[in-house]
Amino acid sequence: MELKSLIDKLHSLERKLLPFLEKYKEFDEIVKHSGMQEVEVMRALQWLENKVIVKIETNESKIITLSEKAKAYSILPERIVLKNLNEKEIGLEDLKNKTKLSDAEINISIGLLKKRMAIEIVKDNNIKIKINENGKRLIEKSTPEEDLFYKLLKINLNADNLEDSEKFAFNELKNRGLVNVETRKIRKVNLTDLGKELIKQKIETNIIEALTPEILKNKEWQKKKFRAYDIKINVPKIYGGRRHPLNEAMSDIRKIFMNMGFKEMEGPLVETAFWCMDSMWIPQDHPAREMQDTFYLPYEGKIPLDIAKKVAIVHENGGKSGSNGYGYKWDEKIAKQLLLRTHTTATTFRYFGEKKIKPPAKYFYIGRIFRNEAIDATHLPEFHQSEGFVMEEGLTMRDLMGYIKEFYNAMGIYKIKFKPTYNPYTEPSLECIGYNEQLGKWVELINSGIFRPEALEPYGIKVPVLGWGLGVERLAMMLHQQKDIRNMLGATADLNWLRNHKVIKKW
Amino acid sequence: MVVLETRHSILNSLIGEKLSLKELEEILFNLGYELEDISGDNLRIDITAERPDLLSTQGLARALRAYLGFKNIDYKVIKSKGKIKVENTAKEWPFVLACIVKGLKFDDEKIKEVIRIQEKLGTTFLRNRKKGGLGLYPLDKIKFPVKYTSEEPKKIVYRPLEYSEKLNALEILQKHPTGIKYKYLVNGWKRFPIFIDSNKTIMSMPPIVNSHDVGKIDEDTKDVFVEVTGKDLKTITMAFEILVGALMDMGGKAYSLNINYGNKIIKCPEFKEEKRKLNVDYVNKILGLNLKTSEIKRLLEKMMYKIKSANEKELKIIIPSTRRDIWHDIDVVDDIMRAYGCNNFELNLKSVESIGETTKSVKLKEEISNLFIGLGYQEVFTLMLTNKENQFRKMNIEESKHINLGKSVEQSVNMARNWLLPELINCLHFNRSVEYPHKIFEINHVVLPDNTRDVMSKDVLKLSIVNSHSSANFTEIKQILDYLANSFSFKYDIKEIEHGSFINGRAGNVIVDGSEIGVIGEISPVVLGNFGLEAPVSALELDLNKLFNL
Repeated sequence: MELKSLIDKLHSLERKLLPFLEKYKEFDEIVKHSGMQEVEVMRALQWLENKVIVKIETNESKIITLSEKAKAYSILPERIVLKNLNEKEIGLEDLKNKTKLSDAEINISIGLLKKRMAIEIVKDNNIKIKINENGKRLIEKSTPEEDLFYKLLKINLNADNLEDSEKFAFNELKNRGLVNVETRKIRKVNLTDLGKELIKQKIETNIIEALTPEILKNKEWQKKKFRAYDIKINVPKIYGGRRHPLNEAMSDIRKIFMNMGFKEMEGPLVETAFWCMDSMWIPQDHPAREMQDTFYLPYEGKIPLDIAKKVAIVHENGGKSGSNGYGYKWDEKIAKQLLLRTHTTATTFRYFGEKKIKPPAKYFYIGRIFRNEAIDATHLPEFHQSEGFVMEEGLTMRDLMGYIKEFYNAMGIYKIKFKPTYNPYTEPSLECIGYNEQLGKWVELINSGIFRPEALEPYGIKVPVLGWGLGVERLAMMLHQQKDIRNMLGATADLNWLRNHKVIKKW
Repeated sequence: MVVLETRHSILNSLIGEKLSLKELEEILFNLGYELEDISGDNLRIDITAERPDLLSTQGLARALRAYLGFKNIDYKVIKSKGKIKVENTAKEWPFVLACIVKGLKFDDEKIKEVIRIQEKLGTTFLRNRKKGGLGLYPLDKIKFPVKYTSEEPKKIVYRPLEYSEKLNALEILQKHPTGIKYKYLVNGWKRFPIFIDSNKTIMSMPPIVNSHDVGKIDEDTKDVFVEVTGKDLKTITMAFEILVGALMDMGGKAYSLNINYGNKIIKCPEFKEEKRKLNVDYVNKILGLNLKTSEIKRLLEKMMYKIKSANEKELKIIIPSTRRDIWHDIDVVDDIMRAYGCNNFELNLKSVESIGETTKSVKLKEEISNLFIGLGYQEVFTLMLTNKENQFRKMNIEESKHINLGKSVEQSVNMARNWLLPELINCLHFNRSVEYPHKIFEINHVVLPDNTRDVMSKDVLKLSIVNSHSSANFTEIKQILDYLANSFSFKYDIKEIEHGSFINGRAGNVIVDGSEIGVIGEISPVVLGNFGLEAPVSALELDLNKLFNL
């Protein structure tokens, strides 16, 4: 039953207030008679209005009050003057002494009385005043100003409710600075039809609002009812600690690799040009080695000369790899340059050369890499790459495609297609494009290939090595549909967005 | 990735078949290229860097014709007795190749195409002319024999292309637009290269600009003199043959010239075709297929290869002269794969046994992050690259040892961070209008100089926690340190220190096992002011390498 449900949900303040709404309409009256605090009444009325039980009318009224100056008087100065006049003339000085009024007050009073034609002014050497017939009559009667003044001493009046006769007096008092006009809001509370019906009902005022340990202890809840809540209303938002979406993406990628049996590698952020380029058969005059793309550092590093010798031969004439080689003279000094690594493959080759990985082996790495570029909505000079390799006898292109399909499937992407591409250190190479159901479009996330024989020759690796990689930021931006990388990464990242970013569906 | 700008209609007419855009897109995709943009008849196609021979409409059409099974004309060069004398060349620019192409019917489109090819080869393959430069001239304006030599800049005087008057070489570098653009290439050269004919007319000054009088092709030109000059013979041969090949595909006939270097005479263009023996088993081993010789032959022919002879074990193949990306048999296998279609493979997944594992650093980062998430801290991810302003001056401390960057395109970075705290405080700056409290943390690397390593640096994993709200204080941050120490079972001591970033009397070093592993304290109002922050901040930064022996 709607009415019952409505009553059950009434707050204890509402319950306390309701009975007074039948008799009293004006806010100030309601406060006075209910004995509740003004803020409690306001709150309760607002709730009642939301439930369409009352309707609050707010009118602006002009309220007339006596000014501070006026409050000091018990009688207006012109009356004091009048009382002290008689048929005999009196000088201003004497008048001042008798009335104890100020010069200003005397002058105003004389001005007023003159206007009323209640006095005669005689100008001799000094000014002398005496009362006349009119004035004598005035002694018995009060002026309209005085009437208004005495009224205002008792209560404030509403400017709209002044009688016509009072309006003139009001202006007079106003001009004399004896009254102020304040604009005040008058609130009137009217019961709606629902409200009128409600008031007829029996409404229990003794209910439990909050369940406290005390109420539990004294078992008060056994005797009283709980106020019913409107459980459908909105409540304030909260947030908690969250992982950064990039770390979440890295964690997901890591899980996929680990589930497939891959071991994670580790390598330095600052690299020698040797490990970052030369070691994997990128020639020393390759465009990617130019300043535009690479952060060169003003320092020189150290390179493993035994491996470097083997690498140099392959660059120059192919060595024993079966390749023509590049046919240029390899320069050790160029290889010693230090730079911020441009791909994680540098670490892969360190593992080939330093850790001497032997087949069967499956390794991966997720690490930060750097490109010497300007910052804009989709580019930062640093981002993260994840890559993995499989080293084993008998691997073929079909296996490369198979591994990538498994990887994509683990990401929830089932429709894939391949496009041949070019990398300096893999051949053949493939771009692997998958269809993202949630976004409804094809996305190119993975680049892959078989490592070139020239790249593997210096490490004595004679079996095929399959490799593939994907960019982590690219993936994270796609999953979170974030258009500007600066909102997600760096000091500029939007804390609000980080706090509220959505959990990516992985089920 | 390089872009070829071409026309759909012209491509189709060269191919000899009306390919729809969809068909063209599919073929290009299968071959490894992307139709990137279409606007009417104009197409933009992404070509990968190892195929400069596809940077002309003619070159691409050749490849597509072969793919569709049509024959291409052989690049047959007619021997001529024409000579180029090479003497006293600029030591920086010693090599030259040249030939004559006759019978061209130049229309406006063809001229545009030739200029496009020249431009494209110049900017990409020839690295903005750093490695070489190409030139074409109307043959009838030149009197043979031609000399390739060099001269002092002031003595080189001619009217450069599209200019009103004669200039000397130095003036060309200052006044002519092409001269201004490529001035840096000849920086410091004592002598500049020139082509001069037997009328003593200066034909051009490679690699800068041709003469207007004898070096400008127009619609009346039928026969051309083509030359390339540069630093590296191999590279310029490639560029030269791509251009001459395109001219032959346009209908021209090429006549070789003899380039007399004094100690040797080179006849060019050669269109030398490398030969290889390709093993059938090798192909199938790499691809995982079971292709027969005849099938391999068919696929290779689709990719412009010629087969000299073949048996069931191997094929003797001839590599197209314009392919300079065939270093190893594996490059041929790649072409076979493209012809076969890489979406036609049956996928396989050979089992390779190994157990998955991650590193100590990763495991640690995971556990510590969980702890802080549990405390309601938001993880942030700031950048490694930063500047000395943020890392030192704004933090009110002297510069400490760090890794400087060389030249950086992004102006706001000049070093790799050696501590995390400034970056997190900067994060507070950018988010100062976001609801408080600001409780953030990060676990990531910084880079410190280290002479003992081959890369002169060490990556150190750090934990940084920053706490900001109207009553943030030391107690809160110490509580966090206690919680961390308790959860990870380590004991610590605090040593009072003076540190510019922190309020005096409210800063400490965190000591574990006698070693300093971090700082803790209330951030100084000087620092808060520098970062425009209006609420107090308490912070902690720990060296996890030291703390956990990473």
